[in-house]
Amino acid sequence: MVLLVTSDNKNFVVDREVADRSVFVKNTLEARGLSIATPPMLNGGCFELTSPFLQVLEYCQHHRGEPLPTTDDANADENRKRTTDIGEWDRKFITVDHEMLFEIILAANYLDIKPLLDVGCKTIGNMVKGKSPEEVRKLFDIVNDFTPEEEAQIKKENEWAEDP
Amino acid sequence: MRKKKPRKKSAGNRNVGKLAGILKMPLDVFYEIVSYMHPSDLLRISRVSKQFRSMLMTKNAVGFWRAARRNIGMPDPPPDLNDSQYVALVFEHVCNACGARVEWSKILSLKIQLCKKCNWKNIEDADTMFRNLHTSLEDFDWSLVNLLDDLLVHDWKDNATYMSCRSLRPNKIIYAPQVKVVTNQLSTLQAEAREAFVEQQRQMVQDTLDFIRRYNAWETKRQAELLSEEALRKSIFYERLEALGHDRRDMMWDDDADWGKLFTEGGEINETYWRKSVLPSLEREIASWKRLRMQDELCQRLALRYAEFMMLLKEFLPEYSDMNPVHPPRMYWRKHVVELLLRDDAQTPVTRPFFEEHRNVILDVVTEYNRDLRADLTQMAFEGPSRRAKPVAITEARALEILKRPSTLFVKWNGYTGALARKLYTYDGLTEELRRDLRYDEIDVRLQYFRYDSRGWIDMLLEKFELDEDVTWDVVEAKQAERPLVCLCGNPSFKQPALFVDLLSHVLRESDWYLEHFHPTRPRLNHDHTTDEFTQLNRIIVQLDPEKGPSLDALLEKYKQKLIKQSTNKGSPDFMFIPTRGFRCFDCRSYSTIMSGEMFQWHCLTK
Repeated sequence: MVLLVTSDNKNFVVDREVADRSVFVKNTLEARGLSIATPPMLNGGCFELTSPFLQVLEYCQHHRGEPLPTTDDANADENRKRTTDIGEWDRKFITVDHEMLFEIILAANYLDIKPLLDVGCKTIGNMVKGKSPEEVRKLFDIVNDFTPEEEAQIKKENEWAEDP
Repeated sequence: MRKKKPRKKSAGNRNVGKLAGILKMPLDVFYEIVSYMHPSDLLRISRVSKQFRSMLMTKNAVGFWRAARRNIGMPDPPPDLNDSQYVALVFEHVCNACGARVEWSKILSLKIQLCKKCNWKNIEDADTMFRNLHTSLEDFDWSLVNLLDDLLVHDWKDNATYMSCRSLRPNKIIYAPQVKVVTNQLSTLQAEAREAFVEQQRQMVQDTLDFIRRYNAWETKRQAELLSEEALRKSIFYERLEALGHDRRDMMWDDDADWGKLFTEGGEINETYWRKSVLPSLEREIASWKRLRMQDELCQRLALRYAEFMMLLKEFLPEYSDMNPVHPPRMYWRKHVVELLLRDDAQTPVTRPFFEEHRNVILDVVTEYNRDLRADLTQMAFEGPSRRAKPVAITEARALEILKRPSTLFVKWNGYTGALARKLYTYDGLTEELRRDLRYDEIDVRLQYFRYDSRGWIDMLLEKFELDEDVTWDVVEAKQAERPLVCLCGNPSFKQPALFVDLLSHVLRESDWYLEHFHPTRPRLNHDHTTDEFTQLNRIIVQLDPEKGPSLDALLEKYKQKLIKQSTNKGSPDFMFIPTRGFRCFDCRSYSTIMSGEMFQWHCLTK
């Protein structure tokens, strides 16, 4: 068992197997030479909020025991075709409000939980899919800082931004 | 003091802006997100704001464009296009010259897409372009012109959506601005640099040709995949819709419809998407198709029932003829039969017991027909003259003489009778050319346009005038003075007084079925045509009643005046066009010309 403490001082005692879903936690624990039987007093990580962390724990709990992605997998991942298909459980899990979605993605990134990060990124990708720039602006609450002339020019020429 | 409850945000706006966090994300997470996207999504995102543009529209982001392309197996871009230009060329429909929206005008080998106008301006066939160079670049080294063919990628005219018609030969086409760039280079570079340029340009041509081969292979594969995905998606929709109780026959999808993108847009079919986006659109469409199918099936049943009915009708009323001028035309009573059959949606077969039970519908129709006809006669007798014919003066004495002549009535009820009748009516007014050159049988040919069986009319006329088949107009004109009054009945009014009286008499005498031909030798009856009398359909003889209506003399006087007026406007008083009733709209009872083939019903234009 390991003890994980969030930045708002909430303690979470979890199985080592669950904690090891996070490469960051796993590496930290291994670097400090701790075994599975270590008493739950270890400050394994520091998280900004309890709420996303609970979600992350739920994810890790559900996927405990599944093989972790290896370095080879990561390299192969660079060259593979990425689909936006999401498993049934993961899809239900990630059906949260958008604010929480970003928190989960950030947490997954910080804790280095690649599968969870993938699920979050795919979800965002699916949200953006097929949307016009105006719809994306509305979704992301982004102000259009192009002039109409610039917009027309970009649409027509599609040059790289740094190109004259 | 009561605390005010915090207002809930509406579901529609709840998430707007909450994704703004994407801008504050670590760059690697952002790139991770975009690496799952479709290249066209990446292109659109790069146009959202300057920040996104600076992140994506840069050579440093080439890896992410590559990843996006890899997601759909898209080949690498040609050498002279950057990633965004390439993606725009493949997935967007924007003219590269003017920025206008265009449809399907990509010229892949030239790596451009142009609107019609810009295409006209910039796409030339190679011959024309090189000839133009000859006149415009006087200092140009013409030995290099031959090189241009090797140094420029061309397309074939047949491949281009739009093509300049200035081309002399239907062969290679080229993009004029590209030609200018290459020719300028060739004309300005020094020998050594020009060699290098030529070599580089040749390589570019080769690379482009390789790209086209790769692209075409991918495009073929992609189209097959898209079709397969679409088919799979449709089959899922079918299954779900059938599970909801819909009939497969009502799923006549038209992929070009607005909701056709439901099949092609891809993406996961989750419950929310299904419930909110798919189901309402498709159920609306299914309802529409179902309505048509039900109507179609009903029509089929109705046609079958109607055929059954007609067989029994022949047995029951063998003398009935649709061609009989005094029998109600089939189109008139058919609606009543159809209404009868439609009472149970034409489910019940028309058997003999059924027919015997309902045959009164025919008799009722006849009764109604008589009543309507008399009402029409009454109404139409007082109608004003037509404005069609040329004026011919006629005296009162002459009008009275005409009225007292034995008259003949030709009645046809179907189809183009009105047009035919008008033509026959105005035979006095036929052009001199027709009078001179045509014979009756030739006129018959002319009249085929109006009615297939117009031969019957001609025969009747010939018989009436006691004329031979090959009679000429000279003979006809010689007989004109003594000929009887000929009246032609068509749609949709009734104007000739003597015939009005005669026909009305028949209507009254033969309340069930009329004689096949109205004959002038039949005794005429004095009558009154007040409404009260007309409604008594069973009376064989209607006595004149001066108290209830005008006397026959008064009627004749009125008709005489009408005839004078009519003749003044219409030409020959010997030929009267007596239009009778037409088909009435099932709903509003106004005269109609439109028949709904599906339901065997007549409707006026407003319906």
